[in-house]
Amino acid sequence: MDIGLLFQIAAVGILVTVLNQVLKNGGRDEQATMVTIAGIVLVLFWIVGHIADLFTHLREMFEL
Amino acid sequence: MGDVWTNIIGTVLIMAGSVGMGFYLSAKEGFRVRDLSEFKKALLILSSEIDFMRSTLTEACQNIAKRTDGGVRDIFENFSHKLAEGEGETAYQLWLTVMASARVFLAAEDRIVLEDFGKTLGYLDKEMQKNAIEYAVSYIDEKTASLQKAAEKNKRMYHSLGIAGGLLATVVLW
Repeated sequence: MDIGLLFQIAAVGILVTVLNQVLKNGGRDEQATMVTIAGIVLVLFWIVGHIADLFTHLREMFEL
Repeated sequence: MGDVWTNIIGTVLIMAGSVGMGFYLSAKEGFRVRDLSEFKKALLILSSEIDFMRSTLTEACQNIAKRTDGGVRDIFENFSHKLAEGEGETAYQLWLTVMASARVFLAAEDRIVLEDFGKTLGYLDKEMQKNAIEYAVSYIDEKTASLQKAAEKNKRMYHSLGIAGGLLATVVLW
């Protein structure tokens, strides 16, 4: 797995938190929630293939 | 090496675009306040024209156009031209046409009130027109006060959103 992906996920986490705080302070709670959900979906989209790989490896390792 | 340069140029363009958008959105509210104030000035002049000059609507709008700036001046200028040419059936229809093509930074709620104001233009007596002007002016006063109150907070929010949004887009697309 590319280490760059971990840094990208960390950066998205930080920026989504910043956007969330800025929007909440501006009284736009709904948009803040939408941004948070969009961030989670984006990161899940990136890692879903890797999680599938992990389970495949586990299955192979324990011969399940 | 070429890839890195493409990424860097892309980052610069995205950041410039999103920060620019943040600054534009924060300035847009200021433009709205400016246009509303200009409209208030126009309405007060119209009120004085009704009271003291007793001029026709066409002349009054021409005088207003001479004393206002920006998009509001264009509105009253176009309206007086259309009235003079006699295009359309009623003053209200002409007013709606002019307002629809106006290049002003008014929100939908402002447009509703100002378009409604057109219904009384040139209709019934002096008092009726003055009441409509008073109503529109009081709306503008209230709206301007609330916009100015929120302006500083929104300005900072739009700036921060522009920067953070640009960074997020850069990270996602890198």
